[in-house]
Amino acid sequence: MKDIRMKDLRMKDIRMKDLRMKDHWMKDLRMKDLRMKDHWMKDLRMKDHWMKPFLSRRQFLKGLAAAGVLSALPPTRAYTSSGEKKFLFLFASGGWDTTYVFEPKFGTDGVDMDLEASLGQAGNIRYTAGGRWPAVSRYFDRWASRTCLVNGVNSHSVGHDSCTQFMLTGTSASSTADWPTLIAANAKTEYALPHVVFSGPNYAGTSGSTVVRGGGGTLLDLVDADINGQADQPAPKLAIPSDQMVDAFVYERTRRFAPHRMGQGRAQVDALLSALDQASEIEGRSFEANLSRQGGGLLERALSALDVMRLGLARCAMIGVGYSWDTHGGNTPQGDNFEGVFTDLDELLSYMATTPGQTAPYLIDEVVVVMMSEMGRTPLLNGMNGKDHWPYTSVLLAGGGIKGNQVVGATDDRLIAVPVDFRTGQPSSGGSMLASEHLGAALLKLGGLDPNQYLNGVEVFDAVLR
Amino acid sequence: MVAQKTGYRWWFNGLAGLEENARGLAVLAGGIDSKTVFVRAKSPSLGLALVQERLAQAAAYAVVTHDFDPDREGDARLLKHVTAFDRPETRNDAFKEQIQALYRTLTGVPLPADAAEPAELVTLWSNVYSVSASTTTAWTAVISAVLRDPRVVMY
Repeated sequence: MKDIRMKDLRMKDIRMKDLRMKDHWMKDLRMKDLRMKDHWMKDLRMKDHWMKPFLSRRQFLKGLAAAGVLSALPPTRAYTSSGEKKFLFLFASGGWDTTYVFEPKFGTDGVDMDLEASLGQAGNIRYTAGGRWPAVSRYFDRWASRTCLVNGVNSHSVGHDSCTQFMLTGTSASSTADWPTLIAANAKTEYALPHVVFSGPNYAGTSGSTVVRGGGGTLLDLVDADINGQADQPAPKLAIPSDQMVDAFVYERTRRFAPHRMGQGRAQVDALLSALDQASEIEGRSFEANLSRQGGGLLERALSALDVMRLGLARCAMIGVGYSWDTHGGNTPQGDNFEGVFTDLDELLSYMATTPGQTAPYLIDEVVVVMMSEMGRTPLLNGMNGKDHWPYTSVLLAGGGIKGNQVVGATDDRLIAVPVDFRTGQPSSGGSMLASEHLGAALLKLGGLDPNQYLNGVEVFDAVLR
Repeated sequence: MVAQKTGYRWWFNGLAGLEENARGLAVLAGGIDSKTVFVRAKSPSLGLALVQERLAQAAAYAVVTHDFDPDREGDARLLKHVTAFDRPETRNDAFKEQIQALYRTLTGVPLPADAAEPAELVTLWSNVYSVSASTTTAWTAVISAVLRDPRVVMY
């Protein structure tokens, strides 16, 4: 029964990819499809719940203790959220051309727009529409009220690596953790997977233990023990009851070891106990969290990320959106890239708007989507009809806590940032120049952190916050 | 350390799983990649726990299949006091002696004479055997449990 359902789900994923190729009229069908998929998943989870061979590890450990096999239980930590916002970061590595969506700069000689581009508007958001990227218009038609575009963000450089670091940390210091790591590391609630890096960049700083890398790949292979089947000298999985018996023994042995250590050594053993507890949690709930979702694309990874957030297993996630954005030798792929990204983003927001959250009625009120690229591209085409690196970029924010239906930050008719009022986000001669650290400070604030503690004296770009 | 004591190398496509980072295992275990992770994790993490668990299982399985292979060349690596046909009901002392030897070899520190671990690991062996009916699986469970001892992880 379970295998059949899993096959159905995989077919569903394939069908969803097909659906993405369809035109705008398929939108409602996709919504229904997603709802059905979620419904099936819930059904499947219920099935899993009453099919007792699939006991969670936590249940199993408790069962052993009740039977007197264990002399003590692992601590019963409640992996529930305290209402704090969760963050899904989407990163377009390579440097996107902001004139394709974020910056409609028509009627100026200072900016080369795509020949198929036209002005689009949804609510208060003016954007660049285009025949090759209709998904952008579909997205804004549906989600403008929940979306904030931030333009003219200075990434301080024109090198990929340094821009990436500036956009995610606000500094070039290699020991500084990025926004999602900081937010996850300073959560009020303990998460089994504080910050999951499915793909894309990560700056762990001194919070390496906060970051779990390889969310859809190596991590899953470790969780379900497939990793040992891939080794040059392979080993079979220990069947679930045996695996859980060993886990219970190791936990108990470590718990009894702890009192024999003092000071830093004790802290290390306590951290190990916490890690073992987290491992049991995620191994026991990996199916429920749907970590085995097929496919490695943006949408599949993002849905997996939302599932672990919905279950209270993770607070932050990072996903590289894919596509080739570094278009020095020809700029037209930018439109196709945005078509792919906004197709997935539309489905992602649909899922968030229809899926119950952990602390909010729906995920769209609980999860903040932060989509960015490390840099923009030059306003004018080069000799190869491409565009080169440009230090001003744009960011899309959507979801919980974000003041939607607005475009904030600004550039002039040569795509150079102008001063803005940080309270309203609108151009102001007495305003400040917006840079990555100001936006980062706003994200930290939204995450419940004191930005001053991490970005001394940096002004918070409050305009994006509800 | 695991490779030296068990003879098992956790390699993938000819590359050491924990010495290069193609699969991300080194970073998951708390290491660096010098691209985006520059600082080693200073305390155990979920990633380390999972890496340790799976490495221990693979190494334990390799030891058991080697040591219980009737056609093996050379000495047994770790299982020198028991055979694939022994059961705790008939050779309990040999089981406990074997477990003492495992701790001595894998942690470098012998268990105290009154330690609870030998009896507990014999119970673990019996519990795993009761659901798997396999001495290979039962000893794999026991050796992997010792490899995950906090003294090994904290070494």
